[in-house]
Amino acid sequence: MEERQITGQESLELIARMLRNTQRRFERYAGMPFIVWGYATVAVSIAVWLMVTRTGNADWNFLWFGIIPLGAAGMFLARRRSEKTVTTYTDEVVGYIWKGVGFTAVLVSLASIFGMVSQILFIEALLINTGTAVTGMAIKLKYVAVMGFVGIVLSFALPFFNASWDQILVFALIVAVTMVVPGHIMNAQGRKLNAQNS
Amino acid sequence: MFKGLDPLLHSELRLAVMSLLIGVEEADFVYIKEQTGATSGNLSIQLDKLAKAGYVDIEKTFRGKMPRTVCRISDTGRKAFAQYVEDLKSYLKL
Repeated sequence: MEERQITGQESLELIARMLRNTQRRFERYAGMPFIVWGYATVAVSIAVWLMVTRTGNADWNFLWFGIIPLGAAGMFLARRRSEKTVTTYTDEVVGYIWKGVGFTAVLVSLASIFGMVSQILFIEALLINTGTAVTGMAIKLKYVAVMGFVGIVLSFALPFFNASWDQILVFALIVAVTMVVPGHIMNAQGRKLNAQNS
Repeated sequence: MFKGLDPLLHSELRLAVMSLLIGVEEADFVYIKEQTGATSGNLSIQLDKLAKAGYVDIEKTFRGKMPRTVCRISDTGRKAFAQYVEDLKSYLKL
């Protein structure tokens, strides 16, 4: 493409083509945030479960706050290898959704320390899965939205395990199904589409 | 050329750049280069022209150790693009 005068018709076609190209975009590593935060949550869940069941000391629950540095470090590394060259309005909206979910999740965790909130894992699971469902709808990926809604329904199993530390493992399983799995599917889809386009 | 059309936008490469940027929040130089198929030199010149007219904002940053040029359409550019499309429609009698 050069700097040359074009006809009116060519202008219209060019505008339409460029707009189509921005809409067709699918990043190779689009699923990385799901994978990073999903694995961080599953890993910390298992660590908390192991420590509280082995020692009987509930103070190990403070390990939950380890999700934040672990996820942040993972995202830092993921962004360094990212090939992201364009940010759409949808990307920004998804970012805002997860900032809202993250902020509320931390606030609920802090409130639970002071005994203001019970059923903490149930609430956290609802928050995470609502984030996944809304993200799926925003980015128009049906399977991500469906996984989110499946996660919301599965979250209602958590109160049944309230008397047992095994509730943590059920929570980890839900996160694995509704975040890690869609994340890997998105990455596989991104790799496939990029291979077809190159 | 129809006199009413903004001469800055009525050029193949500059119009392609503006059409890309209108649909996104921001895009980096590599992405615009890939999508337009322009050479780096030509694209730099045309981006400078658009920036001087206030149609795009250009930010030079780093990703790790790699330099990165990020482009965004400005409010002036958005208005100019909308006006260009309106003028084009009346020119083509759409």
